[in-house]
Amino acid sequence: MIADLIETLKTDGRFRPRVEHVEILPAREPLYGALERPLPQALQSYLDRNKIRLYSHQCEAVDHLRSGKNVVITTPTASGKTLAFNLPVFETLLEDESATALFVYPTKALSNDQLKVLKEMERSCGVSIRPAIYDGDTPPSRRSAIREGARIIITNPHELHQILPWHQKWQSFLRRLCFVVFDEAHRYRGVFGSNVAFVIRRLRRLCRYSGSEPRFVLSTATLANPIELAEKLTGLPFELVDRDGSPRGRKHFVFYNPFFDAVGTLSTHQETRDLFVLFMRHSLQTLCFTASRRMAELIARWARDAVVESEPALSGRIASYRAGYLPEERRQIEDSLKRRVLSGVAATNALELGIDVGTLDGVVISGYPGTIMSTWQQAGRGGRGRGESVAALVAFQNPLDQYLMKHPSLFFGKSHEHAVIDLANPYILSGHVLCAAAEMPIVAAEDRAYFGDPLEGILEILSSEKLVRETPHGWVYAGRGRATEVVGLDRISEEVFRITCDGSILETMDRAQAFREAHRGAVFLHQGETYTVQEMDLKNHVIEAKRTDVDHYTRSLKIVDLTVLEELDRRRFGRFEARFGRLEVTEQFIGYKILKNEQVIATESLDLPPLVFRTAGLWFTVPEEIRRAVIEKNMHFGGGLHGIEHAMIGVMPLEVMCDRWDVGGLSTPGHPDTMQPTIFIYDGFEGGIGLTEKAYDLLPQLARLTFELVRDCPCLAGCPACVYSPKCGNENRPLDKKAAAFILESLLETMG
Amino acid sequence: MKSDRAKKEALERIGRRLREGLARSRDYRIVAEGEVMRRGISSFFYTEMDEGQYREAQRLKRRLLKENEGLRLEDVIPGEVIETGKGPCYLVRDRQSLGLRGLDPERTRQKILSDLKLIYGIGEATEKILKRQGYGTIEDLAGHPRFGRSAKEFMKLMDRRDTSNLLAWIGRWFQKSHPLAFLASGFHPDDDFIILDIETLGIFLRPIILLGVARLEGKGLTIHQYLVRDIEEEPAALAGLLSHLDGARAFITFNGRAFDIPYIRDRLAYYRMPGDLERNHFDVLHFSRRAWRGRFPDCRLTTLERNLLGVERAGDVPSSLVPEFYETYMRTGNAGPLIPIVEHNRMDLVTLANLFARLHEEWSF
Repeated sequence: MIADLIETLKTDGRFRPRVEHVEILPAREPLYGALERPLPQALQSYLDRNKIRLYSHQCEAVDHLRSGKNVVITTPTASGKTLAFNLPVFETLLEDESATALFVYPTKALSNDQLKVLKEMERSCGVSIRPAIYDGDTPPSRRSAIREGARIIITNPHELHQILPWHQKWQSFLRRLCFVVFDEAHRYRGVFGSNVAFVIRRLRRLCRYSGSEPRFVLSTATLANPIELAEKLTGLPFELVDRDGSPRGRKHFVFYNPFFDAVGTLSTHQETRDLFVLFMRHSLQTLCFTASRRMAELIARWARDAVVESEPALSGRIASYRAGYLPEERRQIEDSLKRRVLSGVAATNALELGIDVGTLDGVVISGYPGTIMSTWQQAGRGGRGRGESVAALVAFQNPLDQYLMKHPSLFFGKSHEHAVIDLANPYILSGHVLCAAAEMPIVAAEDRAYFGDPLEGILEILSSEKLVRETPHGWVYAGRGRATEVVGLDRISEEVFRITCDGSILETMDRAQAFREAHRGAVFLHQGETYTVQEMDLKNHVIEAKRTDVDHYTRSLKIVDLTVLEELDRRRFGRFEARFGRLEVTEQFIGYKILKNEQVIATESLDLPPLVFRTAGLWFTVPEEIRRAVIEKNMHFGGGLHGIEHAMIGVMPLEVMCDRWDVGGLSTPGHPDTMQPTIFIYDGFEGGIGLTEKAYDLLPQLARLTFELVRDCPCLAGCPACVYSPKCGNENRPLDKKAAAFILESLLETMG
Repeated sequence: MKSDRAKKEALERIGRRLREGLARSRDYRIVAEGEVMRRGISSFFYTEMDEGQYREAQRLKRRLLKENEGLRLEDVIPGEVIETGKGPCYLVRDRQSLGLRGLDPERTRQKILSDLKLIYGIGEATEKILKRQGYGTIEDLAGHPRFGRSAKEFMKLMDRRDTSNLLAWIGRWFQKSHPLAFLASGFHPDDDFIILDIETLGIFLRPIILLGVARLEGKGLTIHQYLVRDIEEEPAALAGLLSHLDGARAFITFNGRAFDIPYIRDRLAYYRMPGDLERNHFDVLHFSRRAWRGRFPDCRLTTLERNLLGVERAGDVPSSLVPEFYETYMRTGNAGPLIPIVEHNRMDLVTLANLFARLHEEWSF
């Protein structure tokens, strides 16, 4: 079946030109390991009863954890990571009848999934652990029983943040805490991750005063810097376990490019439908991931329509799956997938990890999901275990998707993606110092270990605002209300805009995001539903939206101005000079475009006050001789710089995990602070969040990716897949693709 | 240098924003008159008050500020600075005579023993039969073939006056607010009790500013109020409370089960101060609800006090404005706004003692 499918893709004139690459990942035999010491009888029988033999990486993790080390496990989905840390946790809980463990999961599905596993292990081992979930949905009447009785508590970072001030009620649990597990730790990056890093420090601080010093276990998907991420998240040293010993079936990975000709006769969605149908016609049970709820439903419907005449039976076995369905409906779909009653399901990422749908034969991914990591996770839903499977990535016409289509080796090689955490963002840090002061008086000499050198400066500022007080007992909290209320884990600024619809709050955003995504007239998605902003009240921070069923969408346009506040580092690359430092950025949202299928149907103007913020950024200047060379060749120098800025921001997520909206840029043939042609790229967050700092370290690689993107794009004069930017406030003018390529090439030559 | 200043400026901006963010979350809010009942949603987080009450309190505050301008705390509220292991704080002492009828352990004993339902296996119907057979009290049951063992066990607790286990026993068959649970307090000698009431800067996790403790001594109440002159004195005030706990075997509070005791626990944990607050606890709020629900518009302390004790408070500060009054004192250094806080707390303690006695009259005679 799979062989036939691959054959069709490679030979059929309809598909062949679009297949940019087929990677065959060979089947691999399992690599088993041996523990340094045998497991307690109860656990060994659990393994025997379930016919489990431990893989090499699981043994490695268990050995490290037994020797008291903190461990970060980074092996693929379904390689048995959970068991690798559940074993030593259970061993400890078996040996010490009072010991407790805390498991932190980012989603409900994963929490529920883990709870099931733990309960089964508990039953099997005949030990009393009473694992329980403690989160925002836990009824108040159950809470105290869980705190007092459960020896494993599963929660999420937001709840943990809210729990810490109540440590008195948690004393008994915290005092006995032996393990803290953070699964899916790669999700703790950027603003969210940097906040979580301080929640973890606050937890460690309270543990220390309770007399416990838990070991930490982190598990992450494959990324370039697991140890750095783990150490920054927790502030502790880690051992890495990354050699996967689990077996794997043969997998074919197809890179499918509707825009192979830079034009694209059919849209990504139509191509997705055709592949989805093709997979199912080859008797492959297939999961098709789409970016929005609407597309999940449309693709399922289109696929049914496409086969209803020829294969009416198949047509009845295609469904869609998304958030917003009733729990019973969702369970029914999950179940039908598992029992292989359904042939295909088009789903949003609501069908996330932790939701068990069994093993599928094929996965079609409509559009690059934004990180290589999550692409692998989605592709991993097919062919769990040793079955053969096939996955296809269908590209959009944007730089990331197109770069990958042209350079599949980046995808299949060693990971380049860095998860970034910034411990120096003063906004995030100050917020958590305030929370910590509300949990226990801060003693600078002791607590510097958790919050770093800026601690005292921050305390003094907080004190001048009368939020903390220096007393003989330490710095104590003196503010009103609850500190945790003004510190949200997914934002930097405590300035919150509330988006409301019919009087109820849909979500909250900080100012920058609100200006960008929720200005008057903006169309935005909330849990897959489309809303249009009616009114933005700047004074009261309230945004009124209405549910609208429209098929257009909007993009805001901004112009940027910036000044250099401080240069922190300078590096030479041949004749180029790159710098990193602090910037003050002024972003002015001047209007927005209304688009339909990537076609602009109207442009509206906006009258918003400028956003002024301080952040971190990198910049590099282009030497005079290159400017002259560009002009001599009759190319547009400014257009070249502008193109590099766009393209570099476009590919940056391949090296530094972020969204292209997370960074901003400015290019100019002459900047007053450098007196030279300069390209700036900065973190789009108050105080910076470490993105451009990491990019600065990786600048040579980043410049190469940018060059390859521009060079290898088949378009003639620039397109959305290379030098165009969807958020350019200057309507993507001037742009000169050739000049961009030329400047980048000379930049790389001189870098050697 | 330029960058140092820029950094400092940025930090200042952050501090200001955090303060503004917190200022938006208020512990109380004003509701236009008549709206109080309609908006009950967030009553746990906010104490709502009507506008008239709010304005009156503001007038009181202004008057106090004017009257006490330039005076020292000692002159405004007579008391003394005491030293504790955790530093100094301010102690206000008072002695209050109570026109109480003393508790009568024998009556209490009879009342409890006459409820045969306390014995396992005896329900309403069985009790009626047993009474008809001449088993008037649990004591009489001691020789009963079926209930004798359990009855003897219960008697042992009674004779030992083991209130903790008696309460646990009663709690097995009756609600915590049942009169029998209350009557068990009759076995405590007067000096076992510690009457407790705290004033705080918020509903949770904010400093305690006044800890009021009253002990029954002779025919009256001895009151100790530990006032926090500056929030750095909170640990000292907590230490002041702890100094009363030795030998005190039971708390009397008004809603202390849900509020005062857990609150004090959180504050002790905040300062990492050890302190065991496990005591028998007679929460007058719960018993009052059972005794007087429906008789008065509500069971708030001031309502009960007005209706049962005929006390009308003048110049009182509503509980929910205590933080604001205290913050005014902190800001201005003028101790005037502290007067009604200390007085309010003292009145609460006295009223608690009186309500406690009223409940005994209500249920044991």
